[in-house]
Amino acid sequence: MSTSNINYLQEKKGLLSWLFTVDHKRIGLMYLGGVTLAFLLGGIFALLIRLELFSPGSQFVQPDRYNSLFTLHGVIMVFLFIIPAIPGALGNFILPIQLGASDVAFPKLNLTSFYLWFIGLCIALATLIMGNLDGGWTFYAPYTISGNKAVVWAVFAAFILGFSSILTGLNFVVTVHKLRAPGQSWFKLPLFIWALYATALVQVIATPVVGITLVLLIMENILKIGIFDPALGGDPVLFQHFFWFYSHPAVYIMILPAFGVISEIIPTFSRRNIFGYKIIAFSSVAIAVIGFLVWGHHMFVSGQSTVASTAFAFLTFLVGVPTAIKVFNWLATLYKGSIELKTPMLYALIFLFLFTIGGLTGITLGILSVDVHLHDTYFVVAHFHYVMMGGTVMGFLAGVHYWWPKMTGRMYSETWGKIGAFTVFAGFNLTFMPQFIMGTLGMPRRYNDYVPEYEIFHKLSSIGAGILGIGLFIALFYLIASLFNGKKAEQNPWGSKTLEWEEAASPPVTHNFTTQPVITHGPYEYGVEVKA
Amino acid sequence: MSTNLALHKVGHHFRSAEEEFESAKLGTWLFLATEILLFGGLFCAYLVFRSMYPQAFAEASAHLNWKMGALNTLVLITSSFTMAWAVRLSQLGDKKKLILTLAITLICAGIFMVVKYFEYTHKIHEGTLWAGAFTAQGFSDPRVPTFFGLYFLMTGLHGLHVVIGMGLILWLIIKTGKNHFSPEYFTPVEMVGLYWHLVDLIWIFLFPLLYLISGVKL
Amino acid sequence: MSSGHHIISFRTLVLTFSSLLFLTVLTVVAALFDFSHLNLWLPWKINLGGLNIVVALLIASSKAALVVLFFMGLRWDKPLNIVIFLSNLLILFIFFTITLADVWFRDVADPIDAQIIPFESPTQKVAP
Repeated sequence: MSTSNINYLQEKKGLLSWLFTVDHKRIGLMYLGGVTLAFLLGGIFALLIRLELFSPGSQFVQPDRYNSLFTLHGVIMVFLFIIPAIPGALGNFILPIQLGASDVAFPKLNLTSFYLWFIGLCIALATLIMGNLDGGWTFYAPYTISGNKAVVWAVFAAFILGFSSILTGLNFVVTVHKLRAPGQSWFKLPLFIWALYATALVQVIATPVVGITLVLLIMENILKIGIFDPALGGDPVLFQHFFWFYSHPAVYIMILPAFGVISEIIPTFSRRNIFGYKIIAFSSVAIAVIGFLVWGHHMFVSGQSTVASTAFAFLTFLVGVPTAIKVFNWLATLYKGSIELKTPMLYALIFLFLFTIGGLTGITLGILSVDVHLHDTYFVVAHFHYVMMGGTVMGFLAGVHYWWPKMTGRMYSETWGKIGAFTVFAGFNLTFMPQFIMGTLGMPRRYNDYVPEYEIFHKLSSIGAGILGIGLFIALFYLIASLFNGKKAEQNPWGSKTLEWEEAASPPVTHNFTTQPVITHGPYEYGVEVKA
Repeated sequence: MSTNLALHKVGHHFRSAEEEFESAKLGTWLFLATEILLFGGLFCAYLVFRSMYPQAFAEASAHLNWKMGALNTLVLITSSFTMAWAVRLSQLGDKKKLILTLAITLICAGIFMVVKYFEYTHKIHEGTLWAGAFTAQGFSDPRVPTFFGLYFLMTGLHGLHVVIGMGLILWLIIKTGKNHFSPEYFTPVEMVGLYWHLVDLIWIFLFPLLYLISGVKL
Repeated sequence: MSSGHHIISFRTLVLTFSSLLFLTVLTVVAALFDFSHLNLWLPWKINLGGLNIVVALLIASSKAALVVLFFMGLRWDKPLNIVIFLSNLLILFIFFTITLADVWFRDVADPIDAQIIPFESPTQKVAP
C-alpha cells in the first residue's frame, strides 16, 4: 500500500504521465473523456436525423446520405460509446477500489484496451470522409458485401473495438476472482461488482463471435469468399445468426453495468439495505446466461425457421424474469426508506421508470406474432432507445454523478443537477413516446421520408430531441464547471457504506489506500432495520 | 542454472508471486476461451454448409491430400509434446534442455507451415479456391467452391495462429538464453504452452473435418 | 511459488504423446470405412455423413481430451479454470445447436414456397 498522501491526479504530472499511465483511475478518466466525446459525436448525428425528419421529404440530405446518418449514429453509439462506457469509465475507476485492491490484475493490458478503443475511434472517424457508409450499424449481408470501402473500414474499426472490450472483460474477471481484499467474500461484494463481473463474462464469451463475423464480412468484401453472398453459394441469414449471437448478449453488456450502478445508488439514497441481495446478484448472472439463448428474436422475419423462431420467442420471455426481479427488489428497497432526492438518485428513479417501459416493450416485441407486424418499425426504435438510453445512459449519468466527488474531489451544483435531470427526462419522453405510437401505426425505421399521417409524431419527437440535447448539455457544462469552481468534496459526501467511500480518499491516492483494508461488514448495512 | 530473481519483480498490485501466477493462468484460460469461440464461428459455418451441401463437401474434400494433412497432424502433436516437455523443464530449471525442446517445437511449427505452403500453392495453381476466385476444372457439384472458401478461412486463420505461436516461442528462447526463467518464475513459458496446445487442439478437429469427409483410399 | 503447483511427470507426457499418435493413426484407419449408411436416429435432412462424422468426432474429442487434461494440465488445475473451459464448450454447443435448428428446419411447419434462383457457380461452367 502507498504511504504517500498525494492523490492520483497530483502525483505525476504532464501529458506523458497520462499517456503511459497504468493507473486504473487515470485510464478510467481517459475512457470517461473519450466516451463523452463519442456520445457527443453520435448525438450530433441523432440531432441531424431528427432535424431531417422534422418534415416529410428531403430537406437537408439526400436519401442515401440519410442512410449514412443513421448508420454512423448507430455505429458510434453502440461500439464507441455504450459498450465501453460504464465498464471502461466507471468500472475501471471503481472496481479495484470496491474490491480493496490497488489496481486491476493486468494494468498494462488495461492501457492496451484503452488504446485499442482509441484506434477504433480514429478509424471510425476516418470512415466519415471515406464515402458513403450505409447499411445500418447491423451491416446485413448481402447489402454490405458490394466492396464499399467505408463499410470495410467501419467493420474493421468495430473489430478493433471488440478486442478492447474482450481485454477489459478478461481483466475484470481475473481481478474479481483474484484481487479481493481480506474478508471480501463473494456475498459481501457490492452489487456493482457482481454486475461488472457478469458483464465481463459476456464480453469475453460473446465478443469473439462478432470478431469472426466481422472478419468474414471483410473477407466477403475484399476476396468474395462466398460465405454470405447468395450469388456465390453463401447464406445471408447465417450472417444474421453470427451477428446477433454477439449483438444480443451485447445489449446485456450495455445494461448490466447500469443495473449495478442503480443497485449502488438506491440503497445509499434510501438509507436501507438492498432488498434481496443474493437474488439480485444471481439475477445478473442469470441474465448474462439466458441472454445467450435469445438472439433469434432479432430474426423473426428473416427467413429463419418457424421452429427456431418459436424457441427464441419462448426463451425471450424467460430473460424478462430475472430483469423484473431486479426492478421489484429495487422498488422494495425504496419502500419505507429515507429517500434523499439528490441528482444521482433522481437519475436512478428516472432509470426505473424509463427502463421498465423499455423492458416491457421488449417482451411485447418478443411475441412472435406481434413482431411480424412491428419489426423494422419505429416501435422497435423506441423500445431500444428506452432501454439503451432510458436505461444505460441514465445509469451512466447516475453513476457519473454519484462517483464524481470520488473521481474528481469536487461537488457539482445540485440545483443545476436537478434542472438537467428534469430536462433530460422531459426531453427523452417527448422524443421517444411518439415513436411507440407511430411504430404501431406502421412508420418504418431507417426511412428518410414519410406520409403526412406521421408528421405530427415526427415533429413532437424532433422537438423532444432538442430538449433532450439541451438537458445533456446542461449536465456537461455544470460537471465541467465543477472542476474549476466546485466545492471540494469530503471523503464520503453521500454517507455510503461501500469500501470506495469509507476507506479511500476523494480523490484517492495512487495506490487507492494508505493501509490494506479489511472487510468486516456487507456493503449496504445502513441503520434502518430491514424486515426481509 | 543461475536464477535471476532480480529480473522478475512481482507487480505491486499483487500480494504474492503465487497470486500473480494464478492470475496469469486464469487470464490465459479466459483468452483461450475467446480463441475457441473465434474458431467456433467458422466451425458453425462449416456445419451449416456441410449439412446443406454434403455431396459438394465430399467431392471437394476428396481433392485434398489427406497424407499431407495427416503429416501435419503428427507434426503438431509432436510439437505439443515437446512444448509440454519444455514447460516441465522450465519448472525444473533445466535451461539447456529447455532451449532444445523449445527449438524442436519451433522447428515442428516450421515444418507445418512448409507443408501448408505446398498445399496452398498447389491449390492456387489448380484454381481450387474460394467462390469468388475459383477457376478449377473437373468438378461437378456447383457448391464445391463453398468448401474451399471454408478450407482457406479455417486453415488460414489457424496458420496465422501458428505463425504467432512461432513468434512467441522464439521470444521464449531468447528470454531463456538471458536467464529470465527459473523454478520460481516460469509463467510465460507455461502460458505460451497453453496457447500452443490450443493451436494443436484446433488442428485435431480440422484434420478429420476437412480432409477425411469422403474417407481415405490407401 | 512452486508450492502447490503440479509439475507433470515425463512419463505422463510420453504416455499422452503415444496415445495421441495412436489415435491419429486410428483417425485415418476409421476413414477407410464408410459408416454413412447407418444414419442413426438423426432426421433425414441432416446430411452430415451419419456415423462417419460421429466416429471422427469421437476420436478427435478423445485426442482433444488428452491434450487438455495432460498437456495443458487441467487434470491437476484449479476448478475455476476447468469451469471456464467447460462453460465455453457449452456456449459453443448452444451456438451450433440453435443455428442448426434454424437451418435444418427451414421449411418444416411453414413450407417455403420459393423458387431457387439459378446462380452462376464457378464450377457449373465446367460441368462434365
